[in-house]
Amino acid sequence: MPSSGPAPAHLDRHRAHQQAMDWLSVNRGNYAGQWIALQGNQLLATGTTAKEVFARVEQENPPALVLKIESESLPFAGW
Amino acid sequence: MPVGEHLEILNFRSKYQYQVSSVGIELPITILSGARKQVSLVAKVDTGAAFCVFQREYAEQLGLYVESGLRQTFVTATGRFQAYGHNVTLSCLNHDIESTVYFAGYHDFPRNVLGLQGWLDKARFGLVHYDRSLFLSRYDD
Repeated sequence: MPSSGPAPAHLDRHRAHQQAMDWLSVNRGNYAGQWIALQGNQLLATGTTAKEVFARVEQENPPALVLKIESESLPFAGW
Repeated sequence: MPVGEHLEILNFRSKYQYQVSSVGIELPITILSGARKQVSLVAKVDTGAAFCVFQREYAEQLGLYVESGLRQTFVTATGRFQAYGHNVTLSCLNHDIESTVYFAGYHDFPRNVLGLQGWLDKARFGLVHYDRSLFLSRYDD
């Protein structure tokens, strides 16, 4: 196995993303239909458009995880 | 081991424990375009999707002019839609992959999908859904 591991920036981002996914598993249902921004397990912004949410988290480093919570609560059955 | 069976051993660089969810298997990823632009989002892993398709809003945040990309019509179980291909870097579980991915031609496209061409064809991918474990390496790693 090579001795050189991932860059620290990658590790920070990976850790933050894992925390964000944990947060989503608990809180997703409260934000159906909204765009949200997460930094780790911290909710930074919510809004009805991606543009307004991105604008509020542009300075975040690593970049905040920005996503729209699907409004459909039924199970996904593929394309 | 029964006679005639063959044991395959696979090695992967990364393991990810995903959450149990009714929306499918989701991965946090980052899309990079150009020197400094990047967005982080959540995408579904879909081995039944031919390509990687993302919501238009991410392309706009990356500064891409969506319609300047390679136009492609996609079919789904419920209809058709237009999307446009752009060259980006997909960063997932610490693996960076140069790829052509598609951005939906309209706003409020409902989801982001990691499919065969552009992601799975550049990776070695393992899944043990019983354990909620996803394994990933670059294909050439």
